[in-house]
Amino acid sequence: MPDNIDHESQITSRNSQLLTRNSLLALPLLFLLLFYFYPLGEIFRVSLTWDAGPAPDALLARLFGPATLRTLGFTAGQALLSTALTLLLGLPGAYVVARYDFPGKRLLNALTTVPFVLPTVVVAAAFTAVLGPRSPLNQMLMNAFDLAHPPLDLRYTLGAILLAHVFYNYTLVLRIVGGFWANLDPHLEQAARTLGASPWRAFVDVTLPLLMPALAAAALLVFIFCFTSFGVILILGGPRFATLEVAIYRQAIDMGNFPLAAGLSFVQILCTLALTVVYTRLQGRLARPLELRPRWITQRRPRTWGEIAFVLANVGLGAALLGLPLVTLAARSFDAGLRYYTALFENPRGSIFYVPPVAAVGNSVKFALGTMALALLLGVLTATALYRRKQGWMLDALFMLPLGTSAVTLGLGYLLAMARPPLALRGTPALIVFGHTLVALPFVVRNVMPALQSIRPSLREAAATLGAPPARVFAEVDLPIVWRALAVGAVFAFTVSMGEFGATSMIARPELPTIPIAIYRFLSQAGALNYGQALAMSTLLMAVCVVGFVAIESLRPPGSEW
Amino acid sequence: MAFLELTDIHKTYEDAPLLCGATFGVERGEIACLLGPSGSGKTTLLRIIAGLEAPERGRVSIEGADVTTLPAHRRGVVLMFQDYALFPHRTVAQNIAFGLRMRRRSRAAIAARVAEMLALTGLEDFADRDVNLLSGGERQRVALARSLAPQPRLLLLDEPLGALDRNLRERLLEELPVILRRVGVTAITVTHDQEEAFALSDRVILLNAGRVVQTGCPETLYDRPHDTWVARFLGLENLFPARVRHPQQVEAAFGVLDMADTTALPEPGADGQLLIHPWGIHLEAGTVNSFTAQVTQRAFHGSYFRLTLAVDGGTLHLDVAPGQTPPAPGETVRGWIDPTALRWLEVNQK
Repeated sequence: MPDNIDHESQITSRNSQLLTRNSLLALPLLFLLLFYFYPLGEIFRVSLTWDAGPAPDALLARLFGPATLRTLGFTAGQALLSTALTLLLGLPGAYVVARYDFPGKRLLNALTTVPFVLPTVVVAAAFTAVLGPRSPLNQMLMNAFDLAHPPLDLRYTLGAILLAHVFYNYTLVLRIVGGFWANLDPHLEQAARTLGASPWRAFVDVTLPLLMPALAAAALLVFIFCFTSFGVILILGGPRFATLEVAIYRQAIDMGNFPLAAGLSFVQILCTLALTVVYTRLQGRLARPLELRPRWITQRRPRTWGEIAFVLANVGLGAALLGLPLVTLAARSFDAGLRYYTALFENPRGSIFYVPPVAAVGNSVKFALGTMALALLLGVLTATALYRRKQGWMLDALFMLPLGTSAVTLGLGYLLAMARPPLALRGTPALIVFGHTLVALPFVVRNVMPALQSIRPSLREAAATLGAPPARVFAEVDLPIVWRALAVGAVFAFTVSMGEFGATSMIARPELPTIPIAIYRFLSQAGALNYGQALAMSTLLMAVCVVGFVAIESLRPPGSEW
Repeated sequence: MAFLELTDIHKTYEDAPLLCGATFGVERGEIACLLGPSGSGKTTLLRIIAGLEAPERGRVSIEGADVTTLPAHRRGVVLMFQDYALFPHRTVAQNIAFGLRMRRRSRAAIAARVAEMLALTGLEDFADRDVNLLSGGERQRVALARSLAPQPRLLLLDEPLGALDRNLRERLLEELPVILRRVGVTAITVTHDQEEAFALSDRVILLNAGRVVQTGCPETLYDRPHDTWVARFLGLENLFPARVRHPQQVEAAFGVLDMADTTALPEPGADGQLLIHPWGIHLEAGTVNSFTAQVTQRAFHGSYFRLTLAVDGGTLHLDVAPGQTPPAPGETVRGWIDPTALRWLEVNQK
């Protein structure tokens, strides 16, 4: 019966292919299990067996009471508004990034990522400086109209929160949408124009649908970040506003109510899980195989005055939005000349907690490089295993979960779970890298997967019939083509690690501080000198990040000049 | 045993049968063509031969060895895609070198072979060009050079001229078989265009609804289509229902006709279809198979006129050289049919 044998061996070969693809997932899944589910499980276990806690039914009543619903409503509402505003402002910018080439673009690109790494405490301080009574705008208005009191005080308003969220997430839209748009064939839109579509119709009917996977990715990430926003709400919003994350923090740290904090984290995780599931299901339907074009074909110098004005307007908007708070921050770090900087090297009271800033910078860079390497490895494995699966959305959503989990919860989980065997990693530098990787991994996956999905299957098949085994196909076809996306993912992984504060502060040993922790230590001590040193340290953090991005951006494998 | 053999290949696509027992062979050094309408499963067959898809049932063997489950990269079979699938991140030369690099050839050997391929396809000046900036014809030649470079034991070409404009297509229609024959590669092309199939190949494998309907050299196929479906697919339109009257005579609605070729003719009394090759229709008085008809259409095609004549039971189509003044529509004409131009065909079920 040779026919039957053939048939069976074919099925076996197909199964073994599936097995290979699934085995790629083993490492990422193990990672998720050990450094996400296990610590979270520990929190729920510990909080449910907490002796001093309220009775279970009282806990449930509070968990689903009107206060929680109000918090949930505000959390979702402000996240929705922030996302809409970020997309509205970011899309024209993404277009400029995608289609135009102009002097200084690379540097601007690198600079736009700076906000992303800044610890929320620093950003809130910067926005207070820009929006508060002593802002440059108020000074100007008071001088112009001879006013006795500053007319504008946007602190503790919803507007301040939204602006800070746009400040944080503008770059996400620029990078994810702009990066994808840059490789989209301009002929598609031109074809629509010749078929009689107005520029607006061509955009709505052709470009927008093709951009959808990237748009959905950007929108979801922005929404999740705003949904789990913490420092911005706490400091810029004041006591009037509370997101779920703030509520978790207040319950856990201020009230010591771990069972309620754990319950709220659970609600938050469920919300982000639902969002992620919706998104991943959508993305599968939205992705179209596209012929990506190299950037030097899709991009050109702005030519007409209209184009130049459009580019300048967007550069100006980005500069005002992102630059103003940063410049104010950096300028104020020089309020006392170089005094705040030289003070970083002094230890007048011989404090044993003194942290030399150079050491903090070194620690941060080491953790960030480790995070980048691990996140890239796990991210590429995950994306490669998932991009072709029809039923991949569940796993896909699984890897998005850490993004929607509160840093406070995660840090707490690490403290509880990693204190004793089997994973006695508490206090080790490796644990910090693992924690950061957990948050960085979704960025790599989200960036690499759409790029992998966009590669025409015939390219891989052509390589196979020319004699390339599967691993070689990946190295020769997939990797060079997704290199851009990979670089963007790497930048995000690096930055996430550089700026991460919540979880790090709970698990880092005092003698291994990162830059954000050093800043926090200065901020938590009273006095103008300490505040000034915090600003100086924040300025240093910005500088280190810019150097890091430029270095990563300039990395290109040979033969992939696009 | 043939160089390549496909036996009883079955494949379904989204629960609909696409290939149902396709069986054929290709000899070493032969240029074969899979011809069929869209949806006949020809591209899928090509992908099965390349190892990019697995048949649900059936067997593929090359040089006597069963390769049905052998992965694509170990088959030594190169597929040239319809969209050419040039690697956008590689130059022309790097694209051509790809298959050689996969076979771990030395740097010098790769450079020499790439230069040879560039010369073969007339792309000498294109080595360092960006493939994204090439014209359709240039892309096609790069794809061909890339496919031939590693000296595949079998080359598969999926609609190799499908993406090109007409002039370029006609030029490459002459160029492509010359290059393939000079290299001496065994090749299978896929096309839905009979003109392309006839010009490119030594042998045509005609597919319909997932089965091989007829194979043969282009002349034989055209001269003796197996059934009415084949005749219609090849553009042979002069078909009439007929009955065998006599071992050398058939009767159609417009008259009784003598036949020279009686090999396929069944016993008298049998019903079937009569094919009249247009080259056998003469518009002059004749002694055999004479008929009268009315001209219904006359179309000028440059080097010839196409006439449509109405006869009892159907229409006759024939081409007339413009030298002889052809009759105008409405005129009644007399003519005769050469007995050697008549073929007896089986009637298709469908």
